[in-house]
Amino acid sequence: MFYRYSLTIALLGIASLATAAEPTARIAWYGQLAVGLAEAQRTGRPILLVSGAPQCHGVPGVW
Amino acid sequence: MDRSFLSDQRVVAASRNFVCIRLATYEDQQEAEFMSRVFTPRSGVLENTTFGILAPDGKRNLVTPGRGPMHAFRDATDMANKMRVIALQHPGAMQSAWADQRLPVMNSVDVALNVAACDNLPLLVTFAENEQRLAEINNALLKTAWSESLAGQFVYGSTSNKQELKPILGVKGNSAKLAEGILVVEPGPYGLSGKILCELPGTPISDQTAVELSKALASFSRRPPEYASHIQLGIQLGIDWESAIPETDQQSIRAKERARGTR
Repeated sequence: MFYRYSLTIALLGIASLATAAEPTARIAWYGQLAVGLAEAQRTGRPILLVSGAPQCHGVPGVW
Repeated sequence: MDRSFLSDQRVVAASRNFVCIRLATYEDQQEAEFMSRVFTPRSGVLENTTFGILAPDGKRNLVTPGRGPMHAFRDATDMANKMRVIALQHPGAMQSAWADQRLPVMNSVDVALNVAACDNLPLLVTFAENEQRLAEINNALLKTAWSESLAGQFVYGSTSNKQELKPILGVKGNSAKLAEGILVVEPGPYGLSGKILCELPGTPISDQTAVELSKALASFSRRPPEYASHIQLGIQLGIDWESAIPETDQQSIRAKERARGTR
């Protein structure tokens, strides 16, 4: 449970930044594994991988 | 302690030398199997969150994987420093930032809309009547999407099936008549619907496209929901997200049953 909440807090931190007047720099995420892996292999860049369920208690719209 | 590893600006800066992949946990069987290979928790089954840093081949863990970055790093400073070291060990990492050749679209528009709501970001959807034309639009959009000012500022969806655009309010109007284009969408509170902020032609993609996208971004005024009341109201409204594959995180399943009074 701790880990879920910790990652949730991190993801909510990202969400709350969206209201700033100037866009805050964010991680640019690939949302498809195959596409991201192909790009990593093409460029030789290492991979930062995260997964999260876009629902809590079955309610969507929150990590 | 600041647990916001992934929004820390030093981590964001370090991420530019990585391919960053964030998957929706229970929305694709093959992706779920991959995540289970990266990190197998003590429960032996895929849990709601996974974190790892992998070699470019996607096969070798470069740090201790876990359910979140707190498994591998002391704090965000530690994470950013170690990411910089890892990048220096991979020549490709230092040469190819901002030169991506793929648009970072999600598997489906409905999941992308939900994720946009989760992130409190606008959704950018490209659409066309066939896959070839869609690929042309997506390729034309690459330079803009991966520009320093816009990268990471949108969640992306893409479809050649107009049925997928149904949750987006306003598509019945002008966009319904269009064969192709780009929509910028503000997600509704639960990411089950959205309203159009901006419609752009699929081509040509020009400097003006970036200007229009920046304007749409500036006009995005959605406030992030308050977590507890969002969940409570969602349950009261009978909203229940059905993932593509069954959830396997037993702790999460039990918590859901308790919250919904089904246990």
